[in-house]
This record gives sequence, C-alpha cells and structure tokens, in this order.
Amino acid sequence: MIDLNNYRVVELSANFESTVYRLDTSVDEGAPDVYNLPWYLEDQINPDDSSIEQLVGHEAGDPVWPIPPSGHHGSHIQLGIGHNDNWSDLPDGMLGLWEMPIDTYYGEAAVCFFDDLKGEPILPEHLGNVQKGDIVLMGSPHADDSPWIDGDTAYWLAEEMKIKMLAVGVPGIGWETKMKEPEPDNCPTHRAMTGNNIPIAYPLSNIESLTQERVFFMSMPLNVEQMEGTWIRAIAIEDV
Amino acid sequence: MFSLEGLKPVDLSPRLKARSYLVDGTLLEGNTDPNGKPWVMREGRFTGDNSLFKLYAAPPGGDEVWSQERQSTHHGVHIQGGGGHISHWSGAPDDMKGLWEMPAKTFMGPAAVCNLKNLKPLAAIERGDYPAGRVNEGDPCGVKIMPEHLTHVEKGDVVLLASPFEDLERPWLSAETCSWLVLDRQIKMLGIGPGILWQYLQKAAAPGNSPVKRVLLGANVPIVQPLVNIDKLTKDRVFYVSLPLRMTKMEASFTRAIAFEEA
Repeated sequence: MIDLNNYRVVELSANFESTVYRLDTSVDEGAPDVYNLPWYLEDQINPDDSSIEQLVGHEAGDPVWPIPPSGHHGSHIQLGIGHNDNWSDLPDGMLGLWEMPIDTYYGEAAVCFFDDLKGEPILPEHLGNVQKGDIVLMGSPHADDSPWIDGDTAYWLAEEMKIKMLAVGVPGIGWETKMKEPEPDNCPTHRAMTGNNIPIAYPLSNIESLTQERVFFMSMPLNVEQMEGTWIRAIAIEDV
Repeated sequence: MFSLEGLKPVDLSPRLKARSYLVDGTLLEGNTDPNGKPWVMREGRFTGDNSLFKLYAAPPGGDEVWSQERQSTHHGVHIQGGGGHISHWSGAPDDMKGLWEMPAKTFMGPAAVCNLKNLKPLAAIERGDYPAGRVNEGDPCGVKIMPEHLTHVEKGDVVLLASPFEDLERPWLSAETCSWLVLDRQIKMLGIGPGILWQYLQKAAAPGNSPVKRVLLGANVPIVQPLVNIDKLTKDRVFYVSLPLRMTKMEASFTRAIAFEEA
C-alpha cells in the first residue's frame, strides 16, 4: 500500500477566500479568484440537528456576478459537451466531463515552467519534456506579459502528443487566444483540447513551487452529469 | 514517482444528474443523491467567447424539486469538518478545525473497508434499545458497531463503513466506538456508505446531541458521505482519496470520492 510519508503533496488550487454571511448578520470578507469572480456563502441552520449548512451564493449579489456561482469559479476543469459544443465546426464525438473514464483525471505530468519566455508564443520546442499521453502543467512567473499558447502548439499537444489533460497556471500563461475571432477561427486552444476530449484545468497556482520536471497530478471533477465545468482541488505529488 | 498504476479506481461518489434549465428553454430532468437532495442548475451564455456555463442554482424562488434558488454545500457526496459546521454547539472544543485548515494529506491515504454485512439485526432486548427509533422488546434492530467488528482498521487509516441493512436494522455507530476510532486507531477520516446509522439524538440537549459528529469532528476527523459502491470493493484495504475544494471558511465541501484497489 502507498505510504504518503514518502511524498510531498503540493497544492495547485489557489486558496479561494469565501465571503461568508453569518447568522449574526456580520460578514467575513473574502477575495475573488484571479478572474475577479467571487465565492459567497451564507450560514443557515439545519433544523434537523442545529448544525450550520452553508448556502452557496448570497442574495446581496455581486457587481460582476449573479447570485449563485457557476462551475467555473476558482480552480475548475472543463470539457466540451455543454460548454463549447454550440460552436460551429467542432468534431463529432465530443464528450462531457462525466463521460470520461476516471483515470483521465490523474497521472504522470510534465511540468513546463517558462522562466525565460516573456510575452512570446509557447512553441513545441519549448515543450521538450512532454511525453505522449502526459498531463501537461504550464506556468510562468510573468503575470503581466505572459507567454501564450500558440494555436498550432495547442493542436500539436492535442493531436501529436495526445496529451491527457492541459493544466494551466493563471496568471502566468495566456492559454486562450482569438476569443473574438469569428468561428471557426476562434479560441484554438479550446477547440484543440475539447475537440479531442482533453480536459482543461485552470486557473492553477503554485506551479513554480514544484521541484521536479515530472510529477503525479490529480484533479477530479465532481460526479455530476451535465456539469460542463466543475470545481476541483488540484494537487501534484512529488517524491520527497 | 508516486503512481496508481495497476490499481483499479472505484467511484464511491454517487452519479448525480443535474436538473438543468437550458438557455433554449429545455429542462433536462435530474435525479437525487442518496440523501434525497437534487442538484439543480441554470445554463447561461458567456459573452466573452459564446461558450456556455451552468450556475449552481434553481430558478429564482425554486421549483418543484427544490424550494429555493440556492443550494447548500451538502448536496451530493460531500465532506464536512467541525469548524463552521458545529463550532457553535455548546461544549464543542475550541481547537476544532475547518476543512480549509487541514492539510491535503488528511483526505487521502490507506483505508480500511468495513462492509458490515455480517452484522445481522438482533431482537431488541428492551424498549428503546436502538438510538434512532422506538423499537419495542423483541423487534428487530441494528447492532451496535463495536471495535471487534473493525479489527482490520489500522492506526492512521481512513475508515469506510457500509452495510446492506435498512432503516431500524442498520448497525449503528456509538460514541464509544467513535472514541476508540479516534483515540486508539487515530483514524484520519470516516467515509459512510449506505446501511449505517450515524445521525441520531439530533434533538437531544447539548452535549448529548449528535454523538458521532461531536466525537469525530471534535477530534478533527472529517466525515464524508453519502458514499456508494463500498460493497463493490473486493479488498479489505484500498487507497482512498476525497479532497474538499479549497474554499476558505466553507464548513462542508463537494468532493469526488475514489477508492483504488489492487486489480
């Protein structure tokens, strides 16, 4: 049996600071995620046993988001069905997160941290440590002038390297481009990944704290049919 | 490198089917979790790239399966700690932690699989012999789970409990056995599947109420439920993972519970 004492678990989901509305009407302030999306909770009493069961969302709302959150708040994972299968020219055979085998969501990962790549496209030659079938973890220290995934690179990862999952640190990586281009030239990373049933996990953090080029990565979606994106707790496991 | 190669994943999270209100007006029917709770969502469109998303929300005012717009953190399989959940109870320990204050390793590790199919119901010896119900002398009632029923639980384990019994015939977890799990076995998490009575005395006066929650959560041992498929596990010991989300101050969290067993 696996002995966890031999391994270091590295948190790759950023701490998401909830804003909590308390029973006594006080508010514990939180902080939004990197996309400025909030996470609101409201304490309520469960009448069965007088414990507190929090409601997700708050009636006070938020200037940038309606009352309850979507599955895309904080670190999350997404796939095509229910998400971008309304776009034209995507292939047949796309799947939802809930239709993928469980082992899609864990396995060996290549850590690609781009110290020296600032404001430039990420090309296959920058990804020499990626092996076929890998999960690919990308990050950089460049929050303002981030390297970005070139569309051709996205297709190279999806179709030549047949990666199993793309996991992206944000800020640090511009993982999507051409969001406002007319279809079918829009969002090449989305298209390359979801069109090939490769889930995308983001926004992640802490990738810079990984000490090894290859790690074990895990980010399980919730087991909910019709959720095109679900919140995740992403971890990497390294040898001590 | 850490690896799960050669281990078979077994999903212990029940499959939920979201009741989904789509932007085109379609309603996709859903199901409920083993506790009877639905999962209701409303679709929206992201103008940034014309992709779709779903809110974790029923229509304003609720619908016929959920009576309000918002849902709680206790829908579907979820994990709960004491902090923020029972910390307002009289007599709860001061050092009780919330899920967000526990390290990730709390939520994963070797697990003892305790499918208590041999704990067949007994006839009640006296009236009130079962904590959850008004059983009369001679009625069938569930057996109190004792340490001798849990002999393969090792120190530091996650413990997965289930049985095939229903209602008043379910074996039940006592405060004494919970204390043994905490103090002697030093378990790090309890996973509860079908057929186990663990919530009772919920309306008793403090500190006599909800003994299982008090003992386990009070000792910073999280509880994850409602699990399924524990009866499908073929080994007594598995590697188990169910991480909570990383939201601070969230007293309970949705989770995906997976057991990995040798093939």
